[in-house]
Amino acid sequence: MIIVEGITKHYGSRKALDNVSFTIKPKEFVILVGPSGAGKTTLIKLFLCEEKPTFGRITIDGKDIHLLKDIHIPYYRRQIGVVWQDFKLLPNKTVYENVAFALEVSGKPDDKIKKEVMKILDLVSLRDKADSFPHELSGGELQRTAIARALVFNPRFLIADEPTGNLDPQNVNEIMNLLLKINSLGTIVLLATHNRDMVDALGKRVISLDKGKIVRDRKRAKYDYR
Amino acid sequence: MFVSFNRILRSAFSSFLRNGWLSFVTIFIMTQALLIISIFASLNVVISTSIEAVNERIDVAVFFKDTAQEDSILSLKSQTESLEGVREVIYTSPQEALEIFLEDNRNRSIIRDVISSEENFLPASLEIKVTDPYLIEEIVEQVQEMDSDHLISETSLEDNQKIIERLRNLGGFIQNSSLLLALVFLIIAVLIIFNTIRITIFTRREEIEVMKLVGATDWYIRWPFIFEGIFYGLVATVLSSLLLVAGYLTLIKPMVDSYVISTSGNPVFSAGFWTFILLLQLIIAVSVGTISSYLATRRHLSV
Repeated sequence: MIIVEGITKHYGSRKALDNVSFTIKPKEFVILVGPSGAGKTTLIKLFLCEEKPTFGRITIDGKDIHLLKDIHIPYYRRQIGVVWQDFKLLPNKTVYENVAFALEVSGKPDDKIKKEVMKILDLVSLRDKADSFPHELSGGELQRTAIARALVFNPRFLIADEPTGNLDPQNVNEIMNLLLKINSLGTIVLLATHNRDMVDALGKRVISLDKGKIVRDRKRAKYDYR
Repeated sequence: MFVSFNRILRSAFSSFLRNGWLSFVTIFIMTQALLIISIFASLNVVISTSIEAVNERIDVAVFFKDTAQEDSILSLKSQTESLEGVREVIYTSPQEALEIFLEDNRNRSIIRDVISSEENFLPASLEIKVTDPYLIEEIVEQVQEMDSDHLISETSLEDNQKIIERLRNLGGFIQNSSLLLALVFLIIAVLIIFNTIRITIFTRREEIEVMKLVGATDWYIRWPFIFEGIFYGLVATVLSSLLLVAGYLTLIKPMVDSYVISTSGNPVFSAGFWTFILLLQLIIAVSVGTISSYLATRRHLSV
């Protein structure tokens, strides 16, 4: 259970988020829509502890994530998977190494890492690209690598920030199906997107943000933030 | 713990290789900086050895009256030897002085014709060598005080005072300014290395950010960069040492063999000298590599 309570975030005099509250239940699929500058990215940064809220709090399973000490933040981040629009892969590491990196950080033995990484690469159909470097991959493959990395810890919560922003329609479908599959396996998915077709096709709960406020929160909704 | 260390080393080494061009440029610049340091350090060693060699030749002679007995002169000699700052005292009898004089002028028949070995006009003398040219005046004064029978007719100090003074001042000046220059270049070289590594890490700041966002701890991110800094230092030290030895063998050695400084007992370019240069480079390269990597990553870790 994720509870966002009265979150307000100021950047100087600008209010990026203004008293935002909502709850996400286990296994839920939530889509966050809104124009640029509506506060989607700020909200995601707050979930990742990249930023601290000015007011309000976010609790995950009863724990306020912004009360975590700096040294505990890396361990918290390993429990949530994140996918970005610009992929954020490590350019000098292969697909395999990018995915394995997250596990290596946690100190798991090599043979276990290998098993888990290969399993995840199968899930995103990238096993045959394991030794490729990011610059050798297509946009869709890059994003699937990023998703594989986000999933490798078996997170209960996956955040996807405009994951299809840089992809062509065919890849968009691929990523969308992948997200649905992940959700069906029991992971909470929070998807921030601009992609009207995708939102309409998914038919999931849609939270609409505008100027830092929630203007709509509907189940099985279509793309509409006005 | 061991698993992590292994991974960190492996990660540092692979990124060292995969960032080939960046690593190459960094090492190239570091090698140059180390060469500058080594050249100035060598120059300093050469200069101070040369100055020591010159200082060793600054000495003073004390001449005795004809009436002085050899016994009294020798007793004064042993007294002088016990003075502080005296390295060596050489007694030259009038007979020996004449022999040396004749030997020096063996090709000048006019002089040889005028001088007969029976009428020796040359005085007996003590040649006093000192450890520090600045002590000369004091030592001569003490010797004159010990000479209670007034056997000394004159000393070479009166004639040579100005030359000695000039040599001493020049030596001090050269030594101080070469040390200062070496220090200035040391600082410049350290700053160059520091900045090169900072830029190298700056170009990879996004990598650091990504690592943090996928849950790597600060030290897990930082160690590979620090090891890379150490690699750079090690490779640059090896390269610059090889260049230095090559340069020495082709350019410097032929000159040194015939040069003044080689006459001063200890060869300048000894094993000790090379060890000093190698250690100097190694310590500077590795410590600056480590510290600058640490500081440069710290800036990008605040995600």
